[in-house]
Amino acid sequence: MTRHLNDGQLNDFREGLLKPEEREAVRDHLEGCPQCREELEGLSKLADDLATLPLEAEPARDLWPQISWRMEGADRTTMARPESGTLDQGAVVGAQIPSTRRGRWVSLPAWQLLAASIALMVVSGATVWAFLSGGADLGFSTGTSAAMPAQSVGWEEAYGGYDEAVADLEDVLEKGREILDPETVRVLEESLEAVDLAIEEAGAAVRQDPASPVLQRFLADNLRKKMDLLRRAAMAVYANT
Amino acid sequence: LVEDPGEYLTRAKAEFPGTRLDLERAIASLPEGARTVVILRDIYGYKYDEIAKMQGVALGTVKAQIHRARRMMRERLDP
Repeated sequence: MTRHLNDGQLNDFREGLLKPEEREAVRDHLEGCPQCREELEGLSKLADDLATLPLEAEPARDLWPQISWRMEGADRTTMARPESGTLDQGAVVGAQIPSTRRGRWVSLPAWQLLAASIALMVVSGATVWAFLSGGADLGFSTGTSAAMPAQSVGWEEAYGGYDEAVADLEDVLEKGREILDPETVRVLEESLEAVDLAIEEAGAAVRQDPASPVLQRFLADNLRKKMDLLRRAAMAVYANT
Repeated sequence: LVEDPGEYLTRAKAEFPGTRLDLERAIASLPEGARTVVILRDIYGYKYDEIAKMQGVALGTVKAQIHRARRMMRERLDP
């Protein structure tokens, strides 16, 4: 191998994707080629740097079709193609990636991310309604927990207050329904129906595979999405009051 | 609210290592398709064949996109 290594060879070598004989050939070349070694080091540095980026920094989108094949069987070969540029929550599947991916999932579980956001959400929902009702006593209800995996570790800590906050905001929306534009209400209801369906599917999937961070994150994202919708609805009520 | 974008950037640079901002800019500069696959692979950790399934394209296409994206990012990060 006298020519310089191409991008494919360098990437595959770094990620352990070459056949043994190809790997040996690349290794031999690297030993005698400072330029290719430098390229390899550059690739490795880029990979290490990318692994430091927080997962929550990436856009979260509704990409259920992208991961639904996981529950429907690995032999499914056709999937709904996502809208271009959309991204989904990740999987802990990169066994050959010499990165810190697994560790990052462990250190940043979806439950904790959601719990952090819920702290604000609960305050937001209660605050809006208290404002609208002149400090009325807040009546909470439950219901969303039915979608949760029974054996989820840390569920109570992570999701504590979610049902109450949702019920609080739903109450605001219900009481403010008549003052909102009918078209706004229609869009809100359609959006809520869609996200409720996603939560239901995600909850069922997590019950089937409770250890899957992908599914946990998908569930958490949709719970968060529902909360965001309700918060916007409550703020719309507030704006029209 | 950010009253002064310049001040915000200065604070952001102080708060985060330069590498992170540079990386995010490099990712943002990628063409849409390349950006998607490189994030799925290098940040989220999907395997190549999983990305190919998600995107509905051939494995070779995904690998080529990712190799190209990494090359472009390196050129941007270390011109």
